[in-house]
Amino acid sequence: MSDPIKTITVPKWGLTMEEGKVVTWLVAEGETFSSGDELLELETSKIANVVEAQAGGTLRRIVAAPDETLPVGALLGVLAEPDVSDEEIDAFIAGFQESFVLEEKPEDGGAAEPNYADVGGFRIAWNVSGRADNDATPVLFIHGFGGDGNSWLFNLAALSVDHPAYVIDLPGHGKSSKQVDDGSVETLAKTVSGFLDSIDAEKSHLVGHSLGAAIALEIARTNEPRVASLTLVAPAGLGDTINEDFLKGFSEANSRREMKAAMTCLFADKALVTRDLVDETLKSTRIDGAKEALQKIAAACFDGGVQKMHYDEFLANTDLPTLIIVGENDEIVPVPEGHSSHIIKGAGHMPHMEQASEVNDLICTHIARSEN
Amino acid sequence: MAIKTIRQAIGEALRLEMARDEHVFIMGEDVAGGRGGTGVLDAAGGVLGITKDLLEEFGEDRVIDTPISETAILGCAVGAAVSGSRPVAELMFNDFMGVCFDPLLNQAAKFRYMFGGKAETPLVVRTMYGAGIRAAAQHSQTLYHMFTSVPGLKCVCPSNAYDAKGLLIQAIRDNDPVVFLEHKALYDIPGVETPDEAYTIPFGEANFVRDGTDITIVAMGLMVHIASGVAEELAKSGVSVEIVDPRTTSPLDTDSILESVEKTGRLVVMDESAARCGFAHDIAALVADRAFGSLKAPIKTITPPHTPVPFSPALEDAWLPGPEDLVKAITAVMEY
Repeated sequence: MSDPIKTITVPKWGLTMEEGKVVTWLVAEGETFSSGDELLELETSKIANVVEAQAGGTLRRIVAAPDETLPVGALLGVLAEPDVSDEEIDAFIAGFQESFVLEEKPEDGGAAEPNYADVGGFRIAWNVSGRADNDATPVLFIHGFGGDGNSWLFNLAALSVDHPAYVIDLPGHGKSSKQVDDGSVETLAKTVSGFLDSIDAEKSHLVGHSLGAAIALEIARTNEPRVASLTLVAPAGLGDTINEDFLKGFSEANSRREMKAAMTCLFADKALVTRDLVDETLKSTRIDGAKEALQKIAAACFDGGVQKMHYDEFLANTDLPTLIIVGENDEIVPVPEGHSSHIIKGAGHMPHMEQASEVNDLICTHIARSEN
Repeated sequence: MAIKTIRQAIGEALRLEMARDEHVFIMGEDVAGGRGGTGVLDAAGGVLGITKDLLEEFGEDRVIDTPISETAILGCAVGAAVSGSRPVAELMFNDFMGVCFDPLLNQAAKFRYMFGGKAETPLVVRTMYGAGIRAAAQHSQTLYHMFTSVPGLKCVCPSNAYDAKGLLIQAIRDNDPVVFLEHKALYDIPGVETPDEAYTIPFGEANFVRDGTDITIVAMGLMVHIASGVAEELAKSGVSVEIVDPRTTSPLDTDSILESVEKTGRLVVMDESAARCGFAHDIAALVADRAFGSLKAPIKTITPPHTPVPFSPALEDAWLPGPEDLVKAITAVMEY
């Protein structure tokens, strides 16, 4: 028999999340739910998402009210069967709060620093979730144009249960160095391959988003044996067009207003593009060299609104297990023609953020299947 | 990335820009420390310790000690700027600006206009302002409203380390004269995440320190921190306060201020500058003029009284706008 009283706590989404703010509860006290049901909306400094039930039960107590901001791991609510008394629940909450300790921060109080790898002259920031010494084949997440490793914040936890899950910041992005050489998909793919060499990953599952998907395809095309499976989320490289206004707007944006306009194209739910999310993004693109790097990559990979990279033929002829996931309302790239894609409802170009749990289930199933 | 104080952020911005562009140099009283004397050169790094080690890294031609003459500092810096250098002049206290007003207000601020856009004056004047540290009437004033009223001058007042670094680098790269004001009480307040690399924050973009729905507080410098404390407290009693820090008074992000008031319908401006013709009155007039229809209550302004800053600690504390003043103003506006 498992514990009669279970906790709902603030999850850690991604590597830098420290606290979350309750937006609204989606279940009321006394309501019964099953594992996987949506319990509440929680907002991070970047973006809001839904907390799902890890187990079924009855929501007996809401501990954190809307608008309350709590650190990762703090108690949001308590679930138990109806026969557990209110006194027992009170005692449980008191005990939890008394023993709750904050996750340790680095000594200077700053956010956790990534690891760095020197790959062919590029300084690449990376992180790993789950156990790096796990014998399982690693999963590598490759973000898209203008993003960084943190765009996988809602996916890392799910994927790192069975595999070491690596995230990198591509050259010119996030905390990686800002030089990109010619900015081509070949150069970026070589760098990512170099990173895989640096962690001694002979074979890995590649999960790429947008430009990152094209990079994954380029790695597979040039060195198929090192790829265990491909997951292509809203991929570039499998269609003719790309939203030129987005590329230009994002890579040239100086003000919050300009950046917000560009980022609004990324999501189906425009309300997700909060001022905080825009400010966080600007913190990256305002660093010296970041905009120039993006502009160089855009010029090398795209010709205005036309994609220069084409992997249709490669994909049609490979036996690699491949999963394609596309948001129903993607305004950046078209749905790939001639390949079977999972279309995610209620998502734009960022299905892995907007419909994280559905996408996580698809990827986990795909990777598990590819290993059998 | 690490947590940095405003003091560290300003030093880092100066070092990065001096390394990036050989035209950038700094000048002021004691920035090299002890030149011409018999003691140790650069023992302290200026009165603030901010310019420490820059002398060794960039040499005497780019870290220049000046005589105690503010007129000479500004006159020299304006001349250097208009002839191709990018000086960062340090004028210890903004209270001393009076003797520099000809070079700053009547020359530097006018050159671009007077020469039909052909002259540029890429000058930064760094200067301390603000009360609260027992420095008496001649070293405690907040004068950003005076610089703001001069067309041709840009005016920057950061309230945290991230903003200080990005705005100072922007100021040094800007081709117009910029007055960069540093509040004395903020140099060593707990720091914030600040990248090690150089980055810029554009002028004329307000920072939303806190999102809220009931009332907008416009505040800068030290006042931002007082407002944040009050907002935190009031949140417990269900008042949702939005704090807008314009960061630069010239150019001013009028859109963000108006947008916020249009959402909340209420405005308190908390300002350390002046009881008359100050920054608070400028913001209040802007909102009354352009967002009157959104207001659910009269605008309140909080400023110090129309007196010099007292030297008596008890009187100085009473003179400076504080949390009680803000709570009172917010309560009055909310209950209107």
